[in-house]
Amino acid sequence: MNQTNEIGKLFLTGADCFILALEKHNRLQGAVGNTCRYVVELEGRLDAEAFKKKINQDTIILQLSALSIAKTGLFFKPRWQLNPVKEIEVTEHKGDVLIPDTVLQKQFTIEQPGLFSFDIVQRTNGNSCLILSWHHLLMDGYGAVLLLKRISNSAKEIMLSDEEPKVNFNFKNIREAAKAKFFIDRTSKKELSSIGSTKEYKTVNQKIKVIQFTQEETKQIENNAAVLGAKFGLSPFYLACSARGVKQILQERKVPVTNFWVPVPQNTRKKGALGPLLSNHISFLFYRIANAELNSLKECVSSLNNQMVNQIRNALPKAYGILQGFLKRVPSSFYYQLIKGPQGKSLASFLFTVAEEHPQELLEFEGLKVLNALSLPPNNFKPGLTFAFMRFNNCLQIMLLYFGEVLSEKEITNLEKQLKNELITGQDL
Amino acid sequence: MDKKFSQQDICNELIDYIKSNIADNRILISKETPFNQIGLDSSSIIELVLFIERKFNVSISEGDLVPDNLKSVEALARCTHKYI
Repeated sequence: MNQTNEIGKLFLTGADCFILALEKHNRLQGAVGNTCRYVVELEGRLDAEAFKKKINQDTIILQLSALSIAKTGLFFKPRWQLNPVKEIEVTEHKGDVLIPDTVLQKQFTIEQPGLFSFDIVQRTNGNSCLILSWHHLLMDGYGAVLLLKRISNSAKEIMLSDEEPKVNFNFKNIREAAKAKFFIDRTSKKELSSIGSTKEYKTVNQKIKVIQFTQEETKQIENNAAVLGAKFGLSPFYLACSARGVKQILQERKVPVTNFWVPVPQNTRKKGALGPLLSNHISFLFYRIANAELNSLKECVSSLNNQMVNQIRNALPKAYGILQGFLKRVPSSFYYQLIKGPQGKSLASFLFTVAEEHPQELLEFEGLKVLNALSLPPNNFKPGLTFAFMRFNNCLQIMLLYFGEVLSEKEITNLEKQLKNELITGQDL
Repeated sequence: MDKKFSQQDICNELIDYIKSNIADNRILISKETPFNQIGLDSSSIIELVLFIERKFNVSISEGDLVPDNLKSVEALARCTHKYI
């Protein structure tokens, strides 16, 4: 594909259309749910003017900033629209708060260009922090890292965009899409519990807590995961600890706990791919966690491990991708009705994601050593609590994204204690 | 008569599968390359194990699904070869 000329005519991916439907959900809740961030802490001062000049000399980045959702008719597939290119602003702040409130509350409007922004926070100790914020529709977390790689020149041939393969309307694909739909319906049937509040709010107050582990603790966590039955990787262990933390909160609120339903995004690009940057290329694994399984860390890990194996054995992520492809022509309002599940306004009990480790190629950025990096996914309200796991330099970090209206500070503190304890000891608290 | 696969045969099949289905073409993969260095996550490793089971008509026991056997092409091939 000729990237520079064709980008303005590209259709959204199936995953993009799902996020477009979620956009309606977020607007109804008055929340900032579809904004993602990548935070890079740097040793030394990042010159805002020089950085601004650099990104404004890159035609690909300028075009990315000029994209918005095109107005299309009902039942037409949503597509991108390339608007006149304008200069990208870089806002400078001063202070030591992880993310300044003005950045945290930032919203993007998908019908207008400028779906990402850069903020530079100059720390009082002479260091800097670069914050890339973007609307989830524009790209996923993997795409954001590609954008940073492009800026840092650490990867010369980033592929900006690519047309998603068409999903043909044939018997085989219909059967696969139906398989995915039935699986989602079956696993998300009542009764389900959620961390989300039943109250309505006009606006909600976004907060973040970062939990950091040392290299030794991270190694211990890896060992515990294997002992507890997470045979193929760490995510079942992470998810089990997160789910048990949510159960504990609900129990302390004297809310009856039934089952949890948690969708977990999966990057569908090949490992190490240099694109596409634009759009979302994700599918999902869906976990149903029974209340009884939540009583034991070992049982919970084992159940999640088995569910993951079964879904991959039955090619469910691919089937879900086909379903997403079929749903591209469904108007967002109706799509939203399909995805808001048994809870009425919240499909998932809580949200969970594991981001890729911050890449080796980005341990230096614009000549400055990278001290830390955080990938902060969107936090949809409702449910209003997202667990994001990520490693930097072999150290695990957990980002808890929540709303003050959903969790109190005391609950967050207790959740942090429980997570740390169970991950490091591998024992039920 | 069933062909007897060597450990190297299994390594070759795994590397081909990874290159075709899991990792980008640019990524250099040898039998010793640790999976975490290529960026293979839980679901990728499961895919590999399922591929092995289908390709070689084996069923790897729970006891052998341990990190040491799942850390590289060579390790997985060595484990698989016991079942052939």
